[in-house]
Amino acid sequence: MTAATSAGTITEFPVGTTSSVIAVGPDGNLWFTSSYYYYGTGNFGRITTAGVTTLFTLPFGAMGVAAGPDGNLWVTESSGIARMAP
Amino acid sequence: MGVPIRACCLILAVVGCGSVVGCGGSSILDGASGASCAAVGGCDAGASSLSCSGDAQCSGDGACVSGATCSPEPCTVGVTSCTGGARSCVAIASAADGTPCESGGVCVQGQCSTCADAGASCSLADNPCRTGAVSCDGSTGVCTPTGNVADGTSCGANQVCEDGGCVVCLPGAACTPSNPCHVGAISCGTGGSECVDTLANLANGTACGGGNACENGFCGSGCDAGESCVPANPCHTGVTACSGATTVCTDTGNELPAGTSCGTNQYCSGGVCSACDAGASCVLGGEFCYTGVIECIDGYSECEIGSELPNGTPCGTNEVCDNGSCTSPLLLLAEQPAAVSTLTFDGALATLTDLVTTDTAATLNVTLAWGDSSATSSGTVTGGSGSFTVSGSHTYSTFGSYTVTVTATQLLDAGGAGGTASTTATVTVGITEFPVTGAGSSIVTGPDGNLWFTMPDENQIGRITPTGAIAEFVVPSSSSDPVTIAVGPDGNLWFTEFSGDKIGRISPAGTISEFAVPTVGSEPFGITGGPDGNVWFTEQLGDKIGQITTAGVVTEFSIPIAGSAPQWIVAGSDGNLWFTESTANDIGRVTPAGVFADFPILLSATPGGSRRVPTATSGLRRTRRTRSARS
Repeated sequence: MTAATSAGTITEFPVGTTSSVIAVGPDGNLWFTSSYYYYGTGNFGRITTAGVTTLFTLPFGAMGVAAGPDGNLWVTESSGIARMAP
Repeated sequence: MGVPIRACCLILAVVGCGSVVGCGGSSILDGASGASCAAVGGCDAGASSLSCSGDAQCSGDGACVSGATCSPEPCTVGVTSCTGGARSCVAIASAADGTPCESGGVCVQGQCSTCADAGASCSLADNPCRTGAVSCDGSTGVCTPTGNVADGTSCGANQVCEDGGCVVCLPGAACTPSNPCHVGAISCGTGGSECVDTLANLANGTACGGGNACENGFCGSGCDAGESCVPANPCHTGVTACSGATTVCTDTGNELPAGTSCGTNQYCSGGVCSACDAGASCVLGGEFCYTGVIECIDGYSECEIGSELPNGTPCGTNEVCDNGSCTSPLLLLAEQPAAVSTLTFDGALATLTDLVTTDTAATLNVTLAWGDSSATSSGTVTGGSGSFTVSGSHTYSTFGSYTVTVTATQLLDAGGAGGTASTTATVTVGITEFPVTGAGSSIVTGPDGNLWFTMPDENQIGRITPTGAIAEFVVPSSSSDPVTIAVGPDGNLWFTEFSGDKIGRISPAGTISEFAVPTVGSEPFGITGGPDGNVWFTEQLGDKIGQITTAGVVTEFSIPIAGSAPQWIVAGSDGNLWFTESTANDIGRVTPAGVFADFPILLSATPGGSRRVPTATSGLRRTRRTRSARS
């Protein structure tokens, strides 16, 4: 996971998995998908702005992620849209 | 009768002489015939017609002829004695059996017997070893032989009867029995001399004929040194050695072939005689689910497979037989519980099959490890007759899919085999899935409070309300590959058409407008609302950053680094646009005026440090395919 400041300072944070799409969650943390929905299951990650990572296992491979207006996380998957409470 | 008797006739009285035949010169006449009895007492034997035997006739003048035959009583023969001038008849023997006696009887053993005694036992005077019985010959009785007395009956000192004869027999005398190396003793108990074997051995070395000597009660043929023999270990070969008259079988130490019989149900194996009861039952044990039958192979007792053991027979370690196979009595099959929206799972996790059908829910222990950091808990078992359902309840702290390990164990004290089984079931909590037509890609919250997402393969834009109501809108251009979507400054949603070289706009109501990107084959990818009131996007293959006004006017800015493959773009907090350069491994910055800056990502040595931003999305995959096809 890589962060860049406006001045161009780059900081990397190991997350223990690949990362794909990232979004700011309703909880103020960053949530990222790490696998493709071509696969059966995959990891789903949360990283705090301090770089602390937590991984979650989803029953499907998630692609996109967005914070919903309802306080939930929404992800796209191979045949549906999934909603989760962070 | 000779001359002396003729001389005495000169003085005999003449009484009763019946005949003058042979009686010449005597003055005494027979009383009846008048014949001279001068010769009484000296009558010729041939003058049978002249009876001069009566004492009265011959002693009429008092003469007594000593030695004359007389009969003192019936069946007794006597001789005349003239001792002292008195005449007497002295018995000297019994009359011969069969001699007529008074009343028409016959003499038998000195007694006058009549035929009324017929059949009575009598003794044969001439053979004490024969039995006799009186038989009649006309009116006379005769003792005739009927058989032999019992062999061994004494018939005198050191004499016994044998086969009707009287033989000499010396009881106890030494003799040689049939085994010449045993001590023999004469026995007379059954007749003649019989040599009885006392079974006592003669001294070793005693000659026993043929140049042989006795050895331990047997007459050996000599000691055959070197001959094979059976030593103390019957599974070794032996060779005969001689020690004086003693034969010794020396063990050669060589083993007989394995399997050589060394007794009933005994076979040699490895030089040792071992019992091997072929055909007897044995226990194969272990994981065998068959009876055992002993086979003797090369002398070794082998327990071979017999017939199948009944199902449920314990075998192996905590297992039971099932159609000849030793297997765990328990089989767990995981259920596939549906995902639940809440964080609490409560339901069936697995089915449990138990070959020990006497087990009940109470005799089965199930533990559940829920796959989070919580402690294990007990599962709930329901069912019976070998078929059970395992369920459980658990509340997780966060959403996700968890691997629940289910472990079932038979309680030993309930008579089970102690079998165990485990399986894993996947439980998903805190996630609600809403099915849509196809695979979604990018998703964003729209200004209308709904979620908007792209479906590249379906060529559609989707909308879902927070409660799950779905609407899908088809992009007018076919196969446009709508990839990413963002909220524009104008309250609409904007998306890139990766394969269509267009930027699309969709109103919250679902009205779509499309705007062409000037560069053909540019592959628009990432998109974002910019701080300048415009919408910005990347051209992955065009190596450009594009700007589009909400009215649809496009301006392109070339990235200084050729082939950098820009992908994702966002508006920074500094009023600029920031984007990833996937091939160059850089972070790029562009001002709303189109001024670029490039920041290389310096690879860190920390785990997870990445050579490139891992944006292997469907769009990226598509990009690589496209490049490959075009190169």
